[in-house]
Amino acid sequence: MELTEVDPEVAGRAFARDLERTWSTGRPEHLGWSRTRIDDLTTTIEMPARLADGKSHPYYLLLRAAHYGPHPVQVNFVLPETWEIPAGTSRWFPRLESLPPWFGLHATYKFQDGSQRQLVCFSFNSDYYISEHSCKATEIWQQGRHTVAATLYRLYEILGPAYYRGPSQQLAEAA
Amino acid sequence: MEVEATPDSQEAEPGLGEDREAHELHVTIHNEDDGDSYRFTAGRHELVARVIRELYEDKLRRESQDDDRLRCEADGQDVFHYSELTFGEYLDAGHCPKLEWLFAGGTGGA
Repeated sequence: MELTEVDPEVAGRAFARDLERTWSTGRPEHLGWSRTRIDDLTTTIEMPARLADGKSHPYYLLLRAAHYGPHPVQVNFVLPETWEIPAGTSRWFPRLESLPPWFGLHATYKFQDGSQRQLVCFSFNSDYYISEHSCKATEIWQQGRHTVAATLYRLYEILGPAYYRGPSQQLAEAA
Repeated sequence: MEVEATPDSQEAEPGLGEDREAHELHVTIHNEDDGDSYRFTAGRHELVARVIRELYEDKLRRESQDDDRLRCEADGQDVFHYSELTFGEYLDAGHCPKLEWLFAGGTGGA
């Protein structure tokens, strides 16, 4: 599937509007999220992952909105500060278990164009639609019904105690 | 008593739960598809299903789907499962005392 081209100004305005709408409820801050704007089409989100024992670890999500509106943002786990993609064994790549059927996470995935890179595999990531996946009509991104909030809240759920088991690289090793 | 969504529902304060003095309950629902929050008011004798119906009719404006989820924010417990209880029964059984729920439509994945 080819992603629809979107005027960068239009995509950037919609992205900023929907992030603002989400933050205006106060819930993202209540949950411990923070955002850093990089440019009109790029923002990073710091989000805590929570273990069953109450401990939490920060993770960083890079959101790219080049196709936003008709499609969801592109989202990846990234390193802090450099915003580069971490290896699957990194402190900054989460270890997840017992995932629901609507989510997958691949440190390396072979895309249709032959490239191999990280895939956060669910229907609220634009990469999902260019990686030979398909889903039911009720699960497809729908402009208007879904916003970037859907991407972020699903990831927050996945980074909760039901699925999160700690960083891929144990913290003691990383120190 | 009718269940009423408050007019300014997008600025709902979460987790107000039960106001025993007024015998009035405040239910906050966070829509995790678009980031909005809604606030509903109901009485203890009313069915949980009434607020769910109001959610679909007044806020989501669509039919329910099999893969929709409505969870208690505090513990993730499914709310649809208790739709035939009254709010009094729901709260007295210890379910979701803050009456803060999370709505999410279907999501496709791996």
